[in-house]
This record gives sequence, C-alpha cells and structure tokens, in this order.
Amino acid sequence: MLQINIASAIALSDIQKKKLEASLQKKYSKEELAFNYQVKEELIAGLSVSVAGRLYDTSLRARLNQLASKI
Amino acid sequence: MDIQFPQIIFQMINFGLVLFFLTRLVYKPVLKLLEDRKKKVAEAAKAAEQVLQEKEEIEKLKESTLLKANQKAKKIEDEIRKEAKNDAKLLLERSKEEISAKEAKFSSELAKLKKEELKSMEAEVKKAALVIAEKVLGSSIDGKKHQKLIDDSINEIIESL
Repeated sequence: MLQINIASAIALSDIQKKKLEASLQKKYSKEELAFNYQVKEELIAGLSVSVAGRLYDTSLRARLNQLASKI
Repeated sequence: MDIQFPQIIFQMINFGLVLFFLTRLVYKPVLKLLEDRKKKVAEAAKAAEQVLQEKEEIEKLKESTLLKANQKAKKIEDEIRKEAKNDAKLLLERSKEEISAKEAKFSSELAKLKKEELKSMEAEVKKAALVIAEKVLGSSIDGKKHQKLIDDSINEIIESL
C-alpha cells in the first residue's frame, strides 16, 4: 500500500480531497493508496503532498523558503 | 858720540834672538789658537746652519703631516657623514616599507571584517524579512483566500504529477 501524506495550512474540503485523490489514483493506478491528511499551520497557506519519496510542496512556507535561499 | 859697532851688532843679535823667541813661542801659538778658534766658529756656524735647516725641514714635515692628517680626518668625516646619511636613508625606506605593509594588512583585515559584518547583516536581514513576510501573509490571509490558495496548490500539484 502506497502511503500518501497530505499536509495543508487549513483542513481540505471534501471536494478538494476528492479532486486530489482522483488525480493521484490516476497517476498511481497500479497501487493501492492510503491518504493521510494533516493540518500544519506553519505552512501559512497552500499544501504539500509527499508520495513515494517525492515531495510536491506548493505551500507559502516553501515559496518563502525558496525566496530566502535566492536572496 | 862714537858709533860702537860691536854694541850695535850685539843689539842686533839680541833683537834677532828676541824676535826669534817671540815668533817661536808666542806669535805662532797665538796664530794657531786663532786659526783653531776660527775653525771652531766656522764649524759652529755650519752646525747652527744645519740645525736651522733641519728645523726648517722638521717644520715643513710637521706642516705636511698636519695637512695630511687634516685631509685624512676630513675624508673620514665625509665618509662617516655619507655612511650616516645612507643609513638614515635606508632606515627611512625600511620604515616606509613597514608602514606600507602594515597599512595593507590593516586594509585587508578591515575589508575582511567589513565583508564578514555585511554577510552577517545580510543573513539577519533575510531572517527578519522572512519573519515579517510570514507575519504579514499569515495575518492577511482570510478563509476565502485560504480556499483559493488550496485550490491553486491542488491544480499545481495535479499538473506536476
């Protein structure tokens, strides 16, 4: 079973969860997926998805960190 | 008055004898003494002249030696002055070089310190900017904006899958 950890600044709505899950199911169609949702206020806004050792981080915290490393 | 020839002859012989003895015993020794004295005076004069000449030579030698000594002393003095001047010049040059080296070292250290300080300040400014950005963004995002940002994030993740 493939564990998918989803962290967001606020709790996701059901519509948002379904949209995200559907896309991930499509990408990993051969795997059985387990979704773990977490609320992390330190992300400020947006969300991050960790799957199979890969991290998709589009949170405001990540963007600020990118900005900080650039300056 | 009758002329008595024997008396005259006797007087003549007598005079001759007196003349002979005087010449033999007084005149010649006195003459010899005078000659000797004259010779001695001449020798003394010659010796005196020689002494004077020697004195003049000694004076000349003295003057020459003094002149040479003065010249030598002047030469030594000049050399010492020249050497001292060179030493002073060398010392000055060395001092200038040392000062330049110290100045360069000081400038280098100052530049390094400035760079480090600037770097440290930059890091502090970055941290401060990040904290300010977090505070501003955190407080300015309301529920609606949060939802919009979540939707945008979901779309972005779906695109990158």
